[in-house]
Amino acid sequence: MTRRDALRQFGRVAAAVLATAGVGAPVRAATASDVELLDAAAAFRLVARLERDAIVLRWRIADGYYLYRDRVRVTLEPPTVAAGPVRLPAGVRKHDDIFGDVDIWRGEVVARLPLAPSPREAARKVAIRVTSQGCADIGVCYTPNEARLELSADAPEAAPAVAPPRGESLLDALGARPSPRRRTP
Amino acid sequence: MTRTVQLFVFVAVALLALAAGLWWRAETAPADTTVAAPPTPPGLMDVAIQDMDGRAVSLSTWKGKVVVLNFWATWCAPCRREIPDFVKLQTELGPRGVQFVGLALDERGNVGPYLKQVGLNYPSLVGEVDVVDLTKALGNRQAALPYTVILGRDGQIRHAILGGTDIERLRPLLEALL
Repeated sequence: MTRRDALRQFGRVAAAVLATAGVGAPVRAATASDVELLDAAAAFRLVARLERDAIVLRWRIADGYYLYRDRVRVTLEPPTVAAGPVRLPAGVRKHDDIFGDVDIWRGEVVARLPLAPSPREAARKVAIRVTSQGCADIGVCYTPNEARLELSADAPEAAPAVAPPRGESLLDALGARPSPRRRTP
Repeated sequence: MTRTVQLFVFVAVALLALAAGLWWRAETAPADTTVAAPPTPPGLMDVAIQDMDGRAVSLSTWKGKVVVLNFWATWCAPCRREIPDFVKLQTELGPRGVQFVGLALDERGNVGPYLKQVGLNYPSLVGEVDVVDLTKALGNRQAALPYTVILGRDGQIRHAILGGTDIERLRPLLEALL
């Protein structure tokens, strides 16, 4: 290979590296206006299942989103039927310049809340409250979410119910939501 | 080592360093997230949210100024990252008519210590349901944070920013409204 050929070949490689690095284009991360931000319920899908000795919680976290492991709280109603604390799987360590090292969950996550044996298993009925908080990689965070799920032997699997609209609120006052009370026939 | 090989190695290292620098810059820069300004709700300036002392404060308090409504929370890292820049801009542009207003979607017990820590030099209103409702009414459908809305002196929404921003991006938007 002559020196000229070698330099030509090197130039091609260099151009490929620069193109990969995005030289020539404005430097910007993926943005909220580029990506349609999912509702929290779609970004962090939760399903709970009542089993004989535990409640199994399964989150399916959309790509580009994550939950903070340490902000997940699970409480049981009535509390007396729990056989121990909820077992949360390990997260992935993420360094944050504000919060330091935090553990986050991505993808599919399964947690177990052990239950005490029930003498009347067929009639078992429990409810759980699950609090969680997560963010999207594009740089926004969702408000902490609290969901209540009711589980029974007859209906062992449940997802959080969609909260019904509240009554008169600031949204109505601002005209941001049609208020049934103000509609005219 | 021939001169050609030396040249290869030198340029390759330089290119790798450049690529790494560009990647790091893209990863750490706040997202450029100016979104389409939503319509201004007719009663916006009459909305009142409680301050840190529990007193209802109406947005009309700042009528005639360029108002920057910043929705934030202590549990939101990107919110906390941008607030020091807002403090600097309030100092710089406040005398010319810019007024930042924090709207914390949080509990007072969390907000108070943080405000002291950062030396916030602009008012902070705080609430949960009302602040969620207000941010949704201003175009932030998922109530995701941070969310910043800029009102012109006429009280009309001029810009909305979903996600973090910084002094370099905000200053020209505000200057243009003064």
